[in-house]
Amino acid sequence: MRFPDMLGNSLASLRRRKVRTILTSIGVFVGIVTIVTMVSVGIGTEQQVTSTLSGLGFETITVNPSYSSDSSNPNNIPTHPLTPQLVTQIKQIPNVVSVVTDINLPDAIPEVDISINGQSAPVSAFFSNGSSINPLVSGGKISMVAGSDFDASHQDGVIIGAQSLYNSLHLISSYPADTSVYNQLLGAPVHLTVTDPRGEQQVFTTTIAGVDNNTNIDDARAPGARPNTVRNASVRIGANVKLAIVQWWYRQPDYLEKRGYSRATVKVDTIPHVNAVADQIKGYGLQADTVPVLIDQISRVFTILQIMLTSVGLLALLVASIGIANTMIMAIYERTREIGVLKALGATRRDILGMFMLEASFIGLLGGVLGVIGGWLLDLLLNWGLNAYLQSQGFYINLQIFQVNAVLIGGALIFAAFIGLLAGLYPARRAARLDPLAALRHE
Amino acid sequence: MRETNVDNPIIRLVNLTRRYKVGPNVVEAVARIDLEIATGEFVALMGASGSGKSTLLNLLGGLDTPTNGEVWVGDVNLATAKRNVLDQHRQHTVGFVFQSFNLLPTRTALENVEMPMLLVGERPAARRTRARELLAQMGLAQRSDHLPNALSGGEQQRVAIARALANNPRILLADEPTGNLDSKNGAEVMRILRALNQERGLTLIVVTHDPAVAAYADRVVRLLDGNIVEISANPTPPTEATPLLTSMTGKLQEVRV
Repeated sequence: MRFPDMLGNSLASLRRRKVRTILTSIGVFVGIVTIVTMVSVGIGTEQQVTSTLSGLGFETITVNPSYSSDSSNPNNIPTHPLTPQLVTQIKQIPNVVSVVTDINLPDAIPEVDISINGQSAPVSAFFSNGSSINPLVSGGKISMVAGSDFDASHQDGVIIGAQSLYNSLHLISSYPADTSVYNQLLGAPVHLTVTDPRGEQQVFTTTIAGVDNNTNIDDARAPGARPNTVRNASVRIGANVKLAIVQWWYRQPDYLEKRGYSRATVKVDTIPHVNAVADQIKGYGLQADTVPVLIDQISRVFTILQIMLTSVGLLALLVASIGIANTMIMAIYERTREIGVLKALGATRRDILGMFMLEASFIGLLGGVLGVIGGWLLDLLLNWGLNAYLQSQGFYINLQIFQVNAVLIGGALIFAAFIGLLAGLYPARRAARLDPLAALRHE
Repeated sequence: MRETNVDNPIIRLVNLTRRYKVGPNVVEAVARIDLEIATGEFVALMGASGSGKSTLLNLLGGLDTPTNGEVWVGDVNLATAKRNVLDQHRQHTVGFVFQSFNLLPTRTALENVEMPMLLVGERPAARRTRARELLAQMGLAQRSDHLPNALSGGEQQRVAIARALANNPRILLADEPTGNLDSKNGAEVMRILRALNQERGLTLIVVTHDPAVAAYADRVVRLLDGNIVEISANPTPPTEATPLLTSMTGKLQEVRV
């Protein structure tokens, strides 16, 4: 029996039993939809994370102080603070190009009031951190509009988001404005007012060091909003200014010696040196995270997630394969006499085996095709829903967390057909081994 | 009389035995039969039900394997043949005609006739042409695209005969071919079978319990309880003035066999 004839034969048999074929393939459909969706989460997140991280540069090491795992540490003082002495030592490690330190404002400071030329607005302390643009947070999408960004030697002043100049601080009359408008604001005096829990206030005076295109959460919630509708300003405060704030807040002039910096970003000349430098920094008792390690950790989490969720799909496919086997056994029972006739006419065991295995594979493949289409549509729906939700929460970002690719589609189809083939193995074998005489007598 | 030897035998049964287990009992459906059938002979196997005549036919067709003895068809002993040899035997050497026609109900007359050719890997165009030819010979050219249930019993059996001839077998095995037909259609089927035997030299073995059917045969083998009880040469097998198939289709002799 030629393969095309076998194929035609199997397809014709399935066409004659459309409803049963479709119902049986629904099990595979469910399994494949689940697996496609789950794997697409992995593909999507991995791609989003990787593209986000790639802006960071692989030659970067993020250094953090070490904290004791003991939660009885009320002031959250690090066991191994990132002190200026250690920073100096890190700078002297061979192959280190630069070290940019930063200080986080204490969580207890909810807001800092900023006042420029008589205009004032609150600044969320949480979002004011990151004295240098951190692509891990910004996704590499923040760039300077005027002035220069904070770096190893430049940690003074504040950098204000251009949009906030318009809709929070009302310092410019339109947005976006010409670069010259922003340049005129550089060096303008800035007063930052911090209030401590006892109600004491302290004013820190500095200047505008730069303007960037950063937007805070309130800006993002209202693109092009009119003045007065947005309260918080998007401001990044220089590490030196934040140092002054925390020294006052803790009444601790030797803050850096006692608690150290919150974070340092160490740049190494080439990637191959990253691990050696990181190891040396770890030798000081500090935490040193490299991007590959981060990627590795994140992808490990996603791998576990994917394995768990894919198991659900596999379970569905297991049930589906039992369904296919059942359908095939039924079909073979109904067609016993036909099998007997075919054998009398010269059909070999191989012919019968092939016919029924193909049929079972096609049921699987049909479920696979429907499942891939279903999974893809579900992905579109989930992406749309996720982004609609994010927008309703004020995040104007476009996340494509669910993504399919050719490997996933091809793999899913082959896998679905294979499930069918596997499920058809036993019934087809039974059919092939039927005694032709008994089959011919079958009513 | 036990005239078991013939000249130029195509089939030779030697001490052929087939036993079945039926519950706790062993039934000897065919018991130590010796028989030869000549090439081109028309043999009727007669007997009551349970006499072993159908078992004998199935053994000849390679659908059943003997418990003992030899089944020589040409120079192949089916009793010891491997499965692929038996497949070949069913594909090319014998053609089956059944009492209940056994057409594939979901396929048209044409597709039914094509099936044996499809199973041996014949190309679609070639097998379609041959199937149409065979149906035309059976006078069914106009019925070739009908499903079996749209055909009369006589038509169905003629489709089945066309199907049995598809791969040019040397032997046609018919199990009660007229059993489900009225006398008129039964007679027509028998005339066709007789003509195939006479005009093409097809060896024909027909199982029947109908003396009217047996009357067409050259020899009648009577079976009882698995044994041959009588072999009688038909003194006057019906000879026709004009070949039947030729009168039916007008041009059978030109058709390749």
